[in-house]
Amino acid sequence: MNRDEDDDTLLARLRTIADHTDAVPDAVVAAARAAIETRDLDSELAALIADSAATTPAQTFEAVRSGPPGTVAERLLSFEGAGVQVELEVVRSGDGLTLMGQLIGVEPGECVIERAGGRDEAVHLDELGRFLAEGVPAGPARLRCRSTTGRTVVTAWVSL
Amino acid sequence: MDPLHQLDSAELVERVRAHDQAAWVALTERYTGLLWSVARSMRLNEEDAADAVQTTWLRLVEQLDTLREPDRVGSWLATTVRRECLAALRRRTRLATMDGWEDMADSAEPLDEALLRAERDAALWRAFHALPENCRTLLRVLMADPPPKYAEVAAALDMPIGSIGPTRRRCLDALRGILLSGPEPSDARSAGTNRGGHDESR
Repeated sequence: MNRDEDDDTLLARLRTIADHTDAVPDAVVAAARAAIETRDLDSELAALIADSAATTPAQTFEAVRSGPPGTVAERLLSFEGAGVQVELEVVRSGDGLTLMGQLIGVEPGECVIERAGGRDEAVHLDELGRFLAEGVPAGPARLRCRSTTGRTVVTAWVSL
Repeated sequence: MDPLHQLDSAELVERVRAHDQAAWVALTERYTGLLWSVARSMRLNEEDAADAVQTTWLRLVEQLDTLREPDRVGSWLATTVRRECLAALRRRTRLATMDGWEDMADSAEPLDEALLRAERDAALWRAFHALPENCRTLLRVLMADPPPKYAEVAAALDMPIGSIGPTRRRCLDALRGILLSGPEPSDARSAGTNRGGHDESR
């Protein structure tokens, strides 16, 4: 047996073992299949332009202090597109996540936090375009709003 | 064999764009194993790994119609899941700093030996865990089912594509070295560290 075959055989054995000890969970397979149901050809995208938890230079900014004195934002996210800007602050609290949002270019009223495979949640924007949502479960989410020009805008998916 | 599985990835993406549900399923079957392996190779726990893989697929759906090189969708997915994993690790670290260390219990090495069919496999798996971290990471990605292309592995690990083959060879040599050094896991682990460079001698 030559060396490459030897290596291939050893790796194939490891693959078989990984299939037994660390197989892809069924829920992960199901979530992958279901992802296509979120395809939305009618809405415009507000792309993720900054994430304090990202490590790529183009998407990095320093976490800044905000909120009451002494509290530090755990994660700051910025989205932009279709004439809409979204600033999102995510703070981990005892019971899920607290989301504080500030939106520009959006109709006052309601936005929806969409959670893939979970329940959507409506949030109310005040007259300054701000909202607060508490007890949001961790996992992939995006925000869907109506812009002042009447278009439906969704943010990029982020894992909260 | 399902004929969809013989199509190249660019053709699958085209069909998905044209609302072919079966093509989407075929695409997820081709790459979910790789994405899971990448997340686990980066030592994410099961919950974080599941979120990273799901978010990666959601991102592909979101970018489906603007994806520039559909023939490289595998590398795009690998890069995307890597970024998701790095973000998850940073969140995790920050959380651990805030809450103490109770969330840091390492569930990333599920050595459930009851599931292993033979002691020979258990010995191999123990030897694998005695490897240096860079080898464990690379080999865990290469264990993905179906096996990934080197371009996808390079994207997942942010490594030059030309270094994948030589590193794979060195790591498998090191693995054989640990296997030969004895059946005791504790011995294997120390042998793995003491013999750093053993694999460089070929």
